[in-house]
Amino acid sequence: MSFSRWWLAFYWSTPQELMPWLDFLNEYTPQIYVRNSQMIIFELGRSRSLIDKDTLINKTMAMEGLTLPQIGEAACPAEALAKAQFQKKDRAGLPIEALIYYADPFRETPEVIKPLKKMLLDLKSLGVKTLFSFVNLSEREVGVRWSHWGKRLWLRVHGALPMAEPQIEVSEVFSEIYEFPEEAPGNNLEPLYFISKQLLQRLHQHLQQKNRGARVLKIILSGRTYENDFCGSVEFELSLPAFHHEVSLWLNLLRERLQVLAQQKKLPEMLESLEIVVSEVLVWHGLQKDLLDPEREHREGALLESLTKLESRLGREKIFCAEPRESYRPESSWRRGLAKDWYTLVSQQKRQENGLEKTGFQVYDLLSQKPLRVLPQAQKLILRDQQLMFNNRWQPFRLSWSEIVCGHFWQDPFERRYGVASLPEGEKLWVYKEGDELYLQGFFV
Amino acid sequence: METKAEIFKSLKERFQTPQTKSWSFDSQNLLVPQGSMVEVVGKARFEFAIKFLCEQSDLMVACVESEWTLFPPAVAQRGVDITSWLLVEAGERAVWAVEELLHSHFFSVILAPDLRLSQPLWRRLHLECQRSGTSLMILSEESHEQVGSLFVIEAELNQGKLQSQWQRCRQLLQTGSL
Repeated sequence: MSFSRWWLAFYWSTPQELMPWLDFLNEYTPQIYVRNSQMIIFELGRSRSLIDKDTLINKTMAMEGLTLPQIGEAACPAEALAKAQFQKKDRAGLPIEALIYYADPFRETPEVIKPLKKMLLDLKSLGVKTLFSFVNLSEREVGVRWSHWGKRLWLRVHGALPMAEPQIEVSEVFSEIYEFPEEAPGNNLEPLYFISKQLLQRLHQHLQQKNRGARVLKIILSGRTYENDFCGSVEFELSLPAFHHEVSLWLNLLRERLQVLAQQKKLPEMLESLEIVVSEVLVWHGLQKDLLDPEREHREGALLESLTKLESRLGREKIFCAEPRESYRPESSWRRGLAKDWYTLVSQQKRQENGLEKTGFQVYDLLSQKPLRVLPQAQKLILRDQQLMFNNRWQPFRLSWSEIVCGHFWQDPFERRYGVASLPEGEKLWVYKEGDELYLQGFFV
Repeated sequence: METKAEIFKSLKERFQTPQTKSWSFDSQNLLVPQGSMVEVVGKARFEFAIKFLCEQSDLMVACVESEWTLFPPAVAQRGVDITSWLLVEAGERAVWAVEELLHSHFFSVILAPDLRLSQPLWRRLHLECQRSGTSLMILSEESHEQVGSLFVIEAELNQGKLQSQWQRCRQLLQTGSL
């Protein structure tokens, strides 16, 4: 059972067969992209009554004059298109020509195709024939050979750079509104919780009937503030990193946000209406709850709730996972990945679906041992008579150099000499010398 | 005076009762209790935690720091898959963040360097640890004597080699197992 943004792509060898399908699909969704007169792509979550590939095939059985095309499905539009054309089930087996869809999945323009064709020729001459081999190239190698163009493609295949999607509207709007019979005081949150629960439950049932689930909710609270005679609305969004179908989870998130707004005195003094709109829906591939393991669902729900609370209070960039990044500078040799990506990784969906593993930190096995603690910004050390200023006092130190790190002269020219400064009390500092200055980078113990 | 091996044996017997589960840290001859708060003190506290997690590679780990200084490539260099850790830079809300992570009941171990706790907070977190089965490892330079942690491990580096021992194991002392 899983929820995700899911794309379906169709491929025909002859363009004539495409037209009857466009008429047929228009009944379910008007948001269909036609690519190169041979391909169709649309998002399943934004269509009406289509649950998955099989329901679509079942519906076509009653139709005459429809020949079944080659179908590809994936969470990423480029991947779905490539799977449809090359008839591969997993991403790892796709040929290198699939990059054409990563360059621009929705159009095929000459300014995109021309440099890409040259790049494909270069890749083939290097023996890179599949997407899997391309992924295993290093970020730097791709950047050096094919500049920002290649690097952008490489990041897209890794899922680190989102693709620009044409702006489309949700085909069916799910929303619930409650109008307070008399103006209700905004500082009393209990009635608000009670009404929110009812609205959320109704929305949930409505979505469940359509085999959908909410991912983003928009809450609109309209009312009046007497002090400055303000009459307007407070709007905010609630989103989950992954889908979970318990209403109580949404209710807890809403409750917390309302409490924060009430503390900040941002709620209207008198409430007039409460509206909940589903801004983004996802297709639910499962039909019912996992009755055999209800504990697992409860655990997943609790984790998603914690993650969302942490994200909303601390900020999205403060909840992260560590991802390797190619850089000779230690402070930029890793980057912060999103909590959403971490959740996908630990739930083991990403690796199974993609068939590709991300390159890890293995390169560090070949280097000298690095300290566990590194300062976000290196600090300049003040030296005097073979002593350095540390912990607000002058201390003698012994330096032992271990390695020299240099950047590429054409890209990021720098030279640092790294070493360990041992202090009398046993502290070991990771220091480097750049120019004539000595900098503190981290601590060994 | 009991020898180290005898203490280890009695600890093992004690922890292997159904009430108190533990993870075995073989290279240090220690048992790390599950669902409890464990303070790791001393200069090699980080090395201790990383080495323990290297031996117990299948645990779900989260790490909460006020200001982020842990260097992920160095953790990976010591044989730990840090890409599966959840990392939180919590600023002044470190205690709240730890509490939220404990509520999720998802993590086996939560690392929290330099977490400042008062007695009531300490009790609250301890109860939550017991409820969730998560071990909260507080890495601090010195033990919080005033809050009275049940388990305190001292970790030091001796000629580049990690050496650790129980500094305090209050529960065991009270029950008279040692």
